[in-house]
Amino acid sequence: MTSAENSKNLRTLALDGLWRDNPIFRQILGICSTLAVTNLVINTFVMCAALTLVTAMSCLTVSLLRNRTPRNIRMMVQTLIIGFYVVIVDVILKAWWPDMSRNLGPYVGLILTNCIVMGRCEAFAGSNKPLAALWDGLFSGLGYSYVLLAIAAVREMLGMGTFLGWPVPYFSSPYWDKWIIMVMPPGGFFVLACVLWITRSIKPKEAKK
Amino acid sequence: MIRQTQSNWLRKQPIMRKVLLALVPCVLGGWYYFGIQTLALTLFCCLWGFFLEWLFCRKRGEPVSEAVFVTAVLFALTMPAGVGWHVAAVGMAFAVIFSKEVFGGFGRNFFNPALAGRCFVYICFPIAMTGVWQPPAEGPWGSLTRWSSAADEDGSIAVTSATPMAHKKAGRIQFGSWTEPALPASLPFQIDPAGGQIIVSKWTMMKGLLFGRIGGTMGATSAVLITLGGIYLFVTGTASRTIILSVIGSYAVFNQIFYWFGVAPVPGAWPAVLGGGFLLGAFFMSTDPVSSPRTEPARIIYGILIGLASLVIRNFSIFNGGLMFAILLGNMFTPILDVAGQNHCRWEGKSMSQKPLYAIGYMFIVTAFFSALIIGFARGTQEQVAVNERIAFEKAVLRAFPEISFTTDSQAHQYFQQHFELLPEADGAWVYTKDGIAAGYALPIEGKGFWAMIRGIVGIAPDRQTILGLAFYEQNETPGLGARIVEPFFRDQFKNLTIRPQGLPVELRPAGSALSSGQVHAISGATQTCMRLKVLLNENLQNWLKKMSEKENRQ
Repeated sequence: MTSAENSKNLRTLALDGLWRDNPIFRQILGICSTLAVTNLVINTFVMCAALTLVTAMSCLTVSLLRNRTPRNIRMMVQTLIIGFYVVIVDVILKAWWPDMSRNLGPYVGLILTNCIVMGRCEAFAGSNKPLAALWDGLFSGLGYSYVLLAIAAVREMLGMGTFLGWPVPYFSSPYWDKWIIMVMPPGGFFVLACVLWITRSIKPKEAKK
Repeated sequence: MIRQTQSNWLRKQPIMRKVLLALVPCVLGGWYYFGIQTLALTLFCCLWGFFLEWLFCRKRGEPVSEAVFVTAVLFALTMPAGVGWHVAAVGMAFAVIFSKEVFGGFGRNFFNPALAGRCFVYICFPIAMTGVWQPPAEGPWGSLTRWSSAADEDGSIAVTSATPMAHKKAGRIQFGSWTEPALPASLPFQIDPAGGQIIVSKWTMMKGLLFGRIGGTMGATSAVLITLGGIYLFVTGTASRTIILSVIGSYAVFNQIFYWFGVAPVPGAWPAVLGGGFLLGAFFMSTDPVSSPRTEPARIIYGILIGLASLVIRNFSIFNGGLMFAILLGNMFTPILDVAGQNHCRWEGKSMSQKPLYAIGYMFIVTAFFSALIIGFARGTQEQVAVNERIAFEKAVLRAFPEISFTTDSQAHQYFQQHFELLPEADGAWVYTKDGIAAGYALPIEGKGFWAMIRGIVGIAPDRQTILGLAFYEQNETPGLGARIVEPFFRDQFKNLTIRPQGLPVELRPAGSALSSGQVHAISGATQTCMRLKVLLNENLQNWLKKMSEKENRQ
């Protein structure tokens, strides 16, 4: 276990999370929330912040407990730890940002089932040192976040003509016929597909290097 | 473990006979408290269960096991007195066919059949199973000569809507001291669900639980009768002593600990153990030799698991049948507990973290640790959450009147305080006063949505013929579909909507169809939510309008 640990340095880990192994467009994980909450940038932002926090902290905790946790029940323990942080986030939102808590509804709770969190805990945190695990979780979360924010920005602009609630010059004017489908869940599919298309078409250049 | 001698059509099982014998006091108790109907139902369950099992056993060429009678009697004892026979028939069919025969008959099932059957009907027929309770018969002879304890002299049926344990959980029964207040003239346990709370001396409650003069299931009202049979099982060793002690002990201890910490609505050790048929489950069902563990360490953990789960489910879930779910959960863990228990000995000498029981203990500690943190955190933020909910409610009230505008929370709060009052003559609605005259009513509405409760406010004009607006402060409908009921495009339809004088006050029509007065468009794609919204909105409105017009007529 120890020899494999930290074979990657922090820089590599960050790059992996942000680009080379990006959870959304490389691993295609966490798609459900991609579709559900990206119709408004502000909702997406909170969702991403929550997910990044949960991923980073869960990875850290899983890594701290990795030598004590029996192999055969590690998944149960991981689920428990993730669930713990999800509940904490949920309670924080309920107490100090009730409107947002109402907007996101069940999706905060559903972070628990987000494959990214479990995936990073199982694939990385369970066999690496705490700091590296924290770092890896953080950047996986950030990698997820910027893709989702990009999708949300497109959807909100096309669908509502706003960005973070502020009217965008041309798109909020009567000249722009608002794309209602962008506000609805199917809109997420289309934008996500475009994002996958673009990012995947960049890959060959890298491979040539 | 279970000695069996074969006959052609009935497999003799001495253990099952002992269990049946132990159940005799409970059956007689059911007769005494609730009438001859309980005997009839028990007999019906036995015959019906036997017939169903025979259908399957015939094909396999096996004799019917006597265990089916134990299943049938236990199942019957957990039915509320006077339950419809169709309920019992469906439950027994599920018990015998789907929790026993599909696994290959006696000895191969992993859920207790009686409980699985009860669980099925409990969820399938919630009103029959949890909403209608007969009061037990009074007088020294009880209802020994009567068909049912519920039939009054004029033949009408007297029922109550909750058992004492349910009342206790809902806070409608509060304990005084051991002797105070003295026993009220009427039975203290029949409370009008809407009628606030009563205070009962602990001794009265305990007597009720011990001697069964309370509403409840047929065989589970008297702790004394159950314990009689239970002691017989315990002494003869028919049921596992470890399991009995572990289930009852852990349940009592956990209850008392939670009680000391002041966690509402945990009632403390003795009302919990004596109440609601806990003992029946602990003695007769958790110890089912087929579906409970066979190794001693596993039995202890199994008991603790059941004790803890029934505490949590009984007190903190919407179901009162906590022990039922807990035992079924315990049954589910039986195989793995047995494997763990057997292996634990075999793995002696290996490192600690490889032992299966270490894993279970570890999981337990980790769970307890994180749960404690969450509970602490949630308690810390409780007040803030309550304030938020209050503000959300006030804002919803204001939004139900489109003429009111506000920007900040404190503004909303101030406006609400100045202009809204909960007056008795408005029957639960808030009265909106502007410039000294009544400008409308804000009627809180609530009901079941697709996923969870929907709560909102309807703004109604003073003449009660027009809806001024509609706003929600709590809903958990599907985002993007049902949750769109909170969006302006839907809510704006209710602005100045005429309440229809005949039929339903408000009608929801499919999106795109032509509308006449009192009709609005539903949201396409959110049929379920809209259907439920229509029901709850109309029910609340109709009730309130009726009450208001009655009040007006009286004056």
